[in-house]
Amino acid sequence: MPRTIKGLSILSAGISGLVTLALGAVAIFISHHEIEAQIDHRLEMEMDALLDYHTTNGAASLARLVRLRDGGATNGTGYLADSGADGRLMLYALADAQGRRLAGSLIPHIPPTGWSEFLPIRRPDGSKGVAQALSRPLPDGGQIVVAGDRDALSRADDRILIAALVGLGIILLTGTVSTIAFGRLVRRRLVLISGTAQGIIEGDYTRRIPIDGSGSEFDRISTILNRMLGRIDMLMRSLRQVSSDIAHDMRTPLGRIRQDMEALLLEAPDDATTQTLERTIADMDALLDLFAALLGVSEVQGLAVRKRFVPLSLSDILGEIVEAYRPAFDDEGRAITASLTDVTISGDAQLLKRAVANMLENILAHAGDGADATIALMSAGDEAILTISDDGSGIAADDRDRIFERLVRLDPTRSKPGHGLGLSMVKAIIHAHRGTIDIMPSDQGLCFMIRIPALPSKA
Amino acid sequence: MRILLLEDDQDMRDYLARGLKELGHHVVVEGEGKAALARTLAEAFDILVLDRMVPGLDGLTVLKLARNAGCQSPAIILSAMSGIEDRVAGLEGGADDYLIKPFAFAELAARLGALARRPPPGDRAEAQLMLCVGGIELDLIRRTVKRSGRIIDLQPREFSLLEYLLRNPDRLVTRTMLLDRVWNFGFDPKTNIVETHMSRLRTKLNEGGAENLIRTIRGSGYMIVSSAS
Repeated sequence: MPRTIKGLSILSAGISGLVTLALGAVAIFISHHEIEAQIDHRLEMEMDALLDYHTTNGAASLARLVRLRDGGATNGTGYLADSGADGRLMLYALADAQGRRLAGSLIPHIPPTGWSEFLPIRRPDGSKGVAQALSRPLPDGGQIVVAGDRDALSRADDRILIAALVGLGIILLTGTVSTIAFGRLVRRRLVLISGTAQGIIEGDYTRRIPIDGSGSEFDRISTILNRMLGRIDMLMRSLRQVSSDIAHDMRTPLGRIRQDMEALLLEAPDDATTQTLERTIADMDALLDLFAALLGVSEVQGLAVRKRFVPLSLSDILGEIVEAYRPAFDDEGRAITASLTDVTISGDAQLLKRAVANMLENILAHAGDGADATIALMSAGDEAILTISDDGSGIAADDRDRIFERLVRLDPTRSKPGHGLGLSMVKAIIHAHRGTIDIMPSDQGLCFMIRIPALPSKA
Repeated sequence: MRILLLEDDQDMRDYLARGLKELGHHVVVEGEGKAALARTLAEAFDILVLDRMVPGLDGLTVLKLARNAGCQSPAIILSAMSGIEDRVAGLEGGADDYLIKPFAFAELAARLGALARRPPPGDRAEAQLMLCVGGIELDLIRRTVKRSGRIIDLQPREFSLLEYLLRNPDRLVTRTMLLDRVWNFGFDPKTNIVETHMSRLRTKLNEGGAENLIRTIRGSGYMIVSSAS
């Protein structure tokens, strides 16, 4: 059984066509036999009438009658004589005991007695045809033949065949049209459903499947799916609400502790106390940083940030970031080079700056002494392609899948500052911009490739 | 300056009020939104300091209603609500600055100082075209900088950095304020962007043995002094 709507439709149209053809064949078979039987019946009636005539009037009168009826060879005009075209043509032949033809010239050969199915004939208009014939011996030793033209039969066959073929054509045509229409209807609704699902997968929990009010099966399943989505949305929102409530509830007491520390710091009696308090405040700030970063990643993943997206020049943003970081690279004797093509995308400048800044900071912190950074922005069709690479120590192949995960730090000692959320944030930001980020194979160091859909340039 | 402080947390309120009074400001405290709104509409304040989550009306609504009623005093929102959306809502609601709790008191004081320095909205057309502090002249039209007649060639970001310092002479300017205003970074980079640019700016300004006017305030930020002491 086909499993696609297209396959099912083709199968059903095919079956309809075959059924039509079979019905046509049955119709031809039945009508063919019916007409054949009717011709036989008329031949028998005609034969009976002629034999009666022979008994009553004798052989000579019969010969005259046959000549009369067999209008083609004589001047006689029988009621059937000139009716050949509509299939009622009757043909006659009369022979004596020695087999000599006495009357009737349209049948070239006298058939043997009994029924003949395919007897060649010559019509009065000269055309050749095929007839079925009944031949009977006469009491005086002669033979009489009555034949009926099969032309009517073959024309009836032809007409039924044409009707069947026309019917087949109509069925195939309507089948194809309705299949296409049905397919379109189904596809249109499925595209709406899959589009919504895609939106949800991308994190837009506000998406719902459109309902057209037709009360169709699609409307009903869409309503149920929408209710499910509404529930998921509500759960996600309450989850986020909980996070932000926790953030708020934690920040308030932490803030108060920090503020008390600050106040104590002003009155610190000695250096040791001052240092302890300063360290505690720094730890508190690191804790708050981690918390803010976690909430930040969640917030960007929530995709509400997309509401603020505006067209902006990605090259300008990259230019600003490179300019901001160049002195930091210079101070370490490292280089940062950029080749930027102007590309416009829809996005949030703050987030994009944060993403690129995070990546540059990773290079500064982890790529190793003297490793240089390269940023390249190209426009390829409807995409902005950004590569950010370094020629530093790189990372092990096994770690490549892990580095985008939250709180993953490749440095097992966790001795370098940071909380392992940088690349999670980068990925969330790129994802919010409907883009992708991948690690490209490179001989040395690490190379990230970012693709973001571009807006058509104004030029 | 007359400052309205809206904050519902007793400890925080006392701490901020005491600190601001020590800096010589006159502080009016309110712990509830409706009272704060009534106060704002009845009296003139130089600066509004509003916590967001307070009883009655929340701080952002107080600000929006005050703005609708014609209040033009600079306002800074203090809030533990740190999301991007929260900050955007605050700034779009009429706030001039948004400070996330917890914060260092020095940060709040510095931001209040910067806000107080801003020309009132009606005077924008007459805003200064030339900033002069301690022999440094910054021409906002020609985008040139001179020190004691010597032309100093600055990168665009160094120019913006100097401009911001000169607009706030003798006041603490914090690292996050500079990141906000000069780089438009709404996040805190781990690399000290500000420090590296500041050291280049200093080197260019002090070329030829000129006195260093940009002081580093340890743990807080920077200050440009109008006269070296």
